[in-house]
Amino acid sequence: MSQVIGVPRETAAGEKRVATVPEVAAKLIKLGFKVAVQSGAGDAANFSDETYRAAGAEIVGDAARLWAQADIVFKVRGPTPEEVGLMREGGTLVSFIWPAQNPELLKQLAARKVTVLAMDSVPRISRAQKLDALSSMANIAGYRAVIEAAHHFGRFFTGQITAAGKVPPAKVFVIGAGVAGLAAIGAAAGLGAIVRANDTRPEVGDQVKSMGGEFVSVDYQEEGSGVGGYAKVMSEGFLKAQAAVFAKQAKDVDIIITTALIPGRPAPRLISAEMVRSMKPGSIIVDMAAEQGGNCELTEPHQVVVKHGVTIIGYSDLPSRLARQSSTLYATNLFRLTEELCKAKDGVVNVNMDDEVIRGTTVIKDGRITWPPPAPRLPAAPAPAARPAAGGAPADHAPKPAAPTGPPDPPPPAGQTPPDFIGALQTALPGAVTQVSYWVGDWTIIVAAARILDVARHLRDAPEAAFDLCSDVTASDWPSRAERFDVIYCLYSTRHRRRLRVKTKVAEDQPFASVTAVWPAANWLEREVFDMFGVNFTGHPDRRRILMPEDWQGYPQRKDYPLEGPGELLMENPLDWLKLRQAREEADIE
Amino acid sequence: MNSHVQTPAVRHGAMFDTNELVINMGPQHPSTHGVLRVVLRLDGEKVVDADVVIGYLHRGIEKLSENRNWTQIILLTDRMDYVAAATSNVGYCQTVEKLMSLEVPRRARYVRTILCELQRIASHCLWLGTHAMDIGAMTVFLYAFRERELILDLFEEFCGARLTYNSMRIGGLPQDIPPSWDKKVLEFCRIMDQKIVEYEELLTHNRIWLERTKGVGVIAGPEAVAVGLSGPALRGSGVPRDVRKDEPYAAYDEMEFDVPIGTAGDTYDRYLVRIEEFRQSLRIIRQATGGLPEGPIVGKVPRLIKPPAGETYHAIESPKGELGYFIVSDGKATNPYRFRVRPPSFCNLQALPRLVRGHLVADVVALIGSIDIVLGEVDR
Repeated sequence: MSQVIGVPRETAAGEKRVATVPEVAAKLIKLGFKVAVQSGAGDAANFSDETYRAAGAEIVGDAARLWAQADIVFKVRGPTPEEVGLMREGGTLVSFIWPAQNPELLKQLAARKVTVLAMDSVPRISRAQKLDALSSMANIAGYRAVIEAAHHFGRFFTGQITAAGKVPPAKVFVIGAGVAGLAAIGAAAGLGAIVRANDTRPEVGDQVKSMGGEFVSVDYQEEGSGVGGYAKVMSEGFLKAQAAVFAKQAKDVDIIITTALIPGRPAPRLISAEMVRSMKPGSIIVDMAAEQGGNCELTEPHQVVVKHGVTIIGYSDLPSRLARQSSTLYATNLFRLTEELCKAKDGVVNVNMDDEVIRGTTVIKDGRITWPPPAPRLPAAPAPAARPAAGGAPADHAPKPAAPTGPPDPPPPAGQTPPDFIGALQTALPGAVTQVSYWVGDWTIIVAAARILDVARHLRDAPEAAFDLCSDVTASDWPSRAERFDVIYCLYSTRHRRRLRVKTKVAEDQPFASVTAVWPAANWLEREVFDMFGVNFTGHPDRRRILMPEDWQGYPQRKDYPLEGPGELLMENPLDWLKLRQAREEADIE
Repeated sequence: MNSHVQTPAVRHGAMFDTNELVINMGPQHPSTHGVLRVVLRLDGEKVVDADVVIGYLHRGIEKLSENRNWTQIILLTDRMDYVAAATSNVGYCQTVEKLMSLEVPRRARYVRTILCELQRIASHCLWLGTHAMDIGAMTVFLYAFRERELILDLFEEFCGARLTYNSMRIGGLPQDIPPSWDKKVLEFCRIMDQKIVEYEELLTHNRIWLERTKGVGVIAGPEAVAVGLSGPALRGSGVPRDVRKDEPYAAYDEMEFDVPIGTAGDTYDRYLVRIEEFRQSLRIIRQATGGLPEGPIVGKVPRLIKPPAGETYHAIESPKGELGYFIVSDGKATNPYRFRVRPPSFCNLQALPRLVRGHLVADVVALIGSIDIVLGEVDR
């Protein structure tokens, strides 16, 4: 028996969105549900009843019948008390609820013995991104904020040079680079404006740049990342430094878009009346936090006001002002949620409280309030890299905890007998081979560093071994070990057609005999190991660098050598770099 | 051979004998196939010694790979031997498969064989064209590049790219071959058969060609092994070493083919070996295309590639010689702990000073062509 999804018309004044669109209705029907849409529900978003009917939905004339008929109700805004009264006992409601702000509504709903999923409570984890309606709405709001600003702004956004004169580009300053802020940056940059942005979380700097903006940082050491990737409340010292930055920007820019919100708190006051007064006449402020009290002191919620010649836009219905787009994205978010709720695709929802996403989203389960959910555990953004200490190695190359100390080199398993030449080698040179290892079909012998030449000669000359071809000489670096390098020889016998790897462990400055006299092929290969790792080969006929220039500093393949090369040292400390070079040149002259 | 005595390095600014002249060949010389610099010490026109200076194209591919995840490395391998990118892809993927003990489906192994052999022909075409042009035969260059285009078209149809293919995935192929692609491959084999005859008509018995290549850069088998030569350069000296035969991978164990070897170990024999390899490659392609099995193209590959801790070395026969990968996984990270390439061009180039000693400057050009290097692979 498939359940009925009901989509009523939104009753809140000015709300133009609708909770499903025809295209998504068809997908819901494919999942096994029946879809009932109230007549005229999509009118404000330009979706007519006919298009819903064509998608397979049933059109219901009045709200009361729809609510009575529906097992699951999809809505945008939270229900009014009347609508709660219409709800079927044991039904399911999916909409924005804002449980923290609306405890009364929560109680009313619980009294109706229903299950409620709040789209504003979707946990911020990667798996839930596709049903994160807050993000999709914030994205639209950020875009719309720029459009509203452009509408009230008396100039072009882009700079132009025309026969009638030069037009400078508009300067836009975005405060808060969350989803809305980034969308605003992208939209404003797309219109051709110069965009700057600020955020308390330093790790969003790259995201700002990728959207075409310039990151304005506050020169004050404090981390602004809170739980779940949201911002947190900052210290007083930071706020002071921040205010100084904003005051400076206010004098310079034409448009300020503020998006700063901290979960569960009134919006931070960032733009003072003084800053507004300092702005150029005709400037615009779009305060996207107007409903939570506003980031600007002079904002009036839901209104456009002009103060000191500056237009301050305090709309709180920005997504609704792009109703067709926001309905489509919201409907898709709901569809993704439905997929999670109906894994069997049989048209029956199953509110599985063991699923982390569904658990977080569900605020009432069968009349029992389950909000707030357990706290989110994962930060949404990767941990920001710590600043490198001056002159030190960059942080991403700092030694990690529990540094690896080398491959396991497992002994051969039962039933794998080492080839005869290994036994012969152990007899001929007792003590030279410290370990015999077998892994994914390869034989490896580990040899004491002091005996490498003897072993090499034996392996080349003994008829049962006859390793005449030295395929490769290379090394690997394990900085946490005293003997930090593994030097590895990959040998091949053209007579017996088999391979052997010989491995030795060598310390950083330990003299280590070259095998060039045994295998001339090792000449360049050892040069490369010397060049890349700084293994101290002795008796090599031509020990020069090979791939890097002769005067190169450091050994690139070592694990503590930065991936970016020495550029950082060169840029930060050119004098040290010069000193290093000179020291070397002087040594050469001597 | 004790190279300590025979190859003192030619250092800049050092005083040299007034009878000898030190000249720089490259790094921008057209016949050095990229950015290779050879410092030649000359007595008249005769080369007394040579010092090979490399590294101009060093991009740190090994270091980069140690900071990329296992899948991202495939397209870095494209950029080593960029005229035989598919071979490098296969070598890398097989090494990771070996580390993870992954089973590759038979169809994927067959397609890999076809791609590797097409790539060998394309690479040999490029070698033949440039080698002949370096010596002065312009026509061969135009002919060989004409056929190489046909192969590039086939690759373009398979994976969308003509040079850097990114044509392999760990555990199998990125996609199955396009419909009727195998017919086009067979059609190419038919065309190529006649073209090899054309190349040979132009060169094999050409008096100028014989003068310029016979007896130039002779190296005997045991010495060639000792200095680390591999691939056609080694086989030209009569050593029947071919990774495809000795340590079969992909579907080579199911293919019938011969390993051509030379006798004299000179530039001419290395030329003959590669010409014969054209034919053997076509033979392999025909077998693999004709017997292409049905079935899946990717094995059971985990979503997140993370080989268990351990290290391995795996070699394949690239058109240039033994292309080996030595990879260490620490079992924890999504990137290799150590990524090492044993580039055949690098090891073969090492023999250049040994080969050019006693020859004329013009022969240096012939010998660089003869060992078939790609600087992208030498320098990585």
